[in-house]
Amino acid sequence: MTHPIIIHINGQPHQVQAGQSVASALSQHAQGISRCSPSGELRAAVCGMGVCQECRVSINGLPQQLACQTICTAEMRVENAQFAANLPDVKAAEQTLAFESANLTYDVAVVGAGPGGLAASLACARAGLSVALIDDNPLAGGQIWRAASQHRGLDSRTTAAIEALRNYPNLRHLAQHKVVQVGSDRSLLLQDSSSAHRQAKRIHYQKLILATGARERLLPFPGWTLRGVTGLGGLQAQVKAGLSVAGKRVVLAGTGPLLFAVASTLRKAGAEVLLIAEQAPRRKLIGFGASLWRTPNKLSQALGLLYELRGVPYHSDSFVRSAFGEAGQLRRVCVQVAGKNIEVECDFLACAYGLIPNTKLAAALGCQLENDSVAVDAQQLTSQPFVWCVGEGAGVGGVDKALLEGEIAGLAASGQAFVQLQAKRQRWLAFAKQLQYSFALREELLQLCDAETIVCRCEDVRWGQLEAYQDWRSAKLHTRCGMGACQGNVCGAALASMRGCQVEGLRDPHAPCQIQTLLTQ
Amino acid sequence: MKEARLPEVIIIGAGIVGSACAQALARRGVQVLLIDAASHAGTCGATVAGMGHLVVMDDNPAELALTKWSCQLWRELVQGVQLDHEYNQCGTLWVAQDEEEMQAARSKQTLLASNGIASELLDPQALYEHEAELVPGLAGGLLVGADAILYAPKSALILAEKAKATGCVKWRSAEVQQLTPDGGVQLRDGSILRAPTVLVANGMGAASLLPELPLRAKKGHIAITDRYPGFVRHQLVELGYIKSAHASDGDSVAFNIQPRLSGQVMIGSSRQYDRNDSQLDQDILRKMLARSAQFLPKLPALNAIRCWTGVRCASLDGLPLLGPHPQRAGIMLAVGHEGLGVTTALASAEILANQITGQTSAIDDAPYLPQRFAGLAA
Repeated sequence: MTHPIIIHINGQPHQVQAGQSVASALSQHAQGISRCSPSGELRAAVCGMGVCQECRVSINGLPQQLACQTICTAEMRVENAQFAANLPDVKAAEQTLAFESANLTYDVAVVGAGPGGLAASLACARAGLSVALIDDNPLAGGQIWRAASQHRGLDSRTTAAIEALRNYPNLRHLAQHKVVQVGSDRSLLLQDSSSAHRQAKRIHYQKLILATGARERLLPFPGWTLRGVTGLGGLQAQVKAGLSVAGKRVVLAGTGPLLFAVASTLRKAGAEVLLIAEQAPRRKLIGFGASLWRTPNKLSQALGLLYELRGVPYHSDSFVRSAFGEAGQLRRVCVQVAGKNIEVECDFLACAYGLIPNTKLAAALGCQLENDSVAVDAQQLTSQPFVWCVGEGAGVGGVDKALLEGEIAGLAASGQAFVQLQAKRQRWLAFAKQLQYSFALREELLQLCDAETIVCRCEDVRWGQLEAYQDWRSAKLHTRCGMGACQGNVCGAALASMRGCQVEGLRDPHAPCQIQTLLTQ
Repeated sequence: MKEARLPEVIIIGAGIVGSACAQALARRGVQVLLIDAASHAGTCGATVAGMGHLVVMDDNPAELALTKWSCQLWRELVQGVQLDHEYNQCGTLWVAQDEEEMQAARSKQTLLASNGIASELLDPQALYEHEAELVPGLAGGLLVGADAILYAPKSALILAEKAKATGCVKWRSAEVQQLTPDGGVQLRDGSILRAPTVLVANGMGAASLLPELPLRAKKGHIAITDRYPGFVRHQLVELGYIKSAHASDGDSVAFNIQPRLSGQVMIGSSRQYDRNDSQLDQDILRKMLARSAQFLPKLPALNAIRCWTGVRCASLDGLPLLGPHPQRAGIMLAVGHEGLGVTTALASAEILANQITGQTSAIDDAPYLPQRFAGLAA
């Protein structure tokens, strides 16, 4: 499937594999360097899923493009901060103006092609409805099933669902399409980045199913902006997108079952996992393990992973206090293990503390939120009578909950019976509750910053600058916190945890997009 | 310990105008209470939504006198601390599309020159040397080099902090519910504050406190891009601006672009009359962006990261209301600045502070007195 191609990084030819991400190519050939932050730090990809905006580079003459969301193609030109390509070149500008825009109409639009979105789409497609499945990633499967077809031994439901996509001519998968505006006339404005010839599309729908998933909670600590420090799922996503970690020493820190899943992926990719730091206390982990009898597939999955990872140091009550580097590159981390600080030399630190439901699209549609997730009823219907929400957006609970909710919403939206699934749904909601209780954040995680620690990575706003401002609005206006390209997706969520401040609602565009897209009727 | 003194003046609104007034009064030793619904000055209203363009405007002599004086006061204020205000003397480059607009540029230059303001006429070659990304085929332009930009929320905060530092100005974060018939300032919690003078400086908010004021909302949209340093270097405004922005009562857009110090490109502008809501209007946003793209063909290739709206508080004749409310003893007005609130904040504040303390201003304040409106006649 993959084959070697040549791309040009900062004018130099390099051999990479077709299909790998630009971010992974930068890691191999340019020390991972993407953008230069306002205060002069050379950064690398962090979230691996198009949220943090750290991996912005110039691609084929177009600056400020996401390296983690772009797949290498033959003769691609990539320029990072060290090449200072600030402005679009003539060809890129011409291509932009040659943009075509299309108006398309579907019975159902599904946003997000993870397990929940796939299940919902298939349920609607089976009922004969026309479905647009919209996703900003190159491949279907969401973060959990990302590039699943290339990784053996994963969930068998994965390949089945992804392959089923092809069986329905009435189901169209729009990969690398991001939603940038919600129209008042039941339409979505999309930017299509699936080829060099970008397009804008306006999708009209009757019913909308949101399966927007979650992003990682990235909490600031001294040193977290060094290259080599990534999200937890973020590193996994990057490895799945072609990042080579063979022989690399990795420390994992975070909370919940994701730690094991990431450790497994990394070990299979040849990394040496030095240490796993779980922030939750031991008693809660034991409680969580004991609760798994109610969900036998989770129990066997957990036992399998525990066996696979035997020998890897795993510590509860542990978290990363700080990271240290040289010339912007991670060298070692300080981990607090059961009350004591230890230092570990490593190449990567993958660190994030749980997941945050992506609710902004729902909020823009006027759907009510509840406990930071989208409020839904038994059929996953939101407070808007034409919008359903499934999976992590409706409450973090993992793949099984997402699959089931997706199916329920798909059945409901296409007028089919769904009551038979309610008992199962209750079981997964209970599992979600157990997750939330067992892996609640410890207070120390919210107090790791010193005055110099950067909180807003886009704009390099430091903790000390924020002290005078308690509310989000004044902090934003007077320090630029949250004013960068990620629009507070990272720092806003962190400050909400650290300070309990209310982050302001969403503004257009929902994700950075070319102005040409916003010119679409 | 000093005894807490009662305020002589209560200022409602700590946007750029209210904060400037607080500072101007504090410099004269007047005891002030500055009230705003937000937690900090410079966090609300048109101050946070606008472009922060300091520009000499010459639609009429009074506008020219006020903007010219105020721009001078800004230059003095930011002297040595430009970066604190994100002040950048990038100049205004008025862009002419055709010979008719070029003629307007020449008239503008003559008028400015007769008022002691230097500007430079640019032929097409000089225009493209100044701004390489402009669309080919333009007729030229007029560069007013002393014009500048700043970041108004910061400037408002700096002004308010300076005022507080004198010890004369106290700050209160509270929402004003209404003005009682006897001139009291009633807060949302029901309490009533009193002072010999109440200065109303809360933009469109003034229309709900004093419905008789001849004010009109003009909503505007702005978009901002990611960082593209060097894409444009001056505040670029089309000379057709005056025609398109003021000609009619309908919705309008104009080419108005600003290079932020961050390298971001700020894109304006739109005007929608009598719209006092914050809802983003995707249709007019599209028209506004399309207008800018006609002048900057590469603009559509840039990433927009955020769009927002704001409401300009306009008076019916285009000049601000600066001075005593003709019908309400003890109430002073500093409202109706429309799109020039940031530009004229410092001069407006001088005028108000001089009126309150019985001093004379450097320019004649008669054209700005609220009593010029027949509907407000005493």
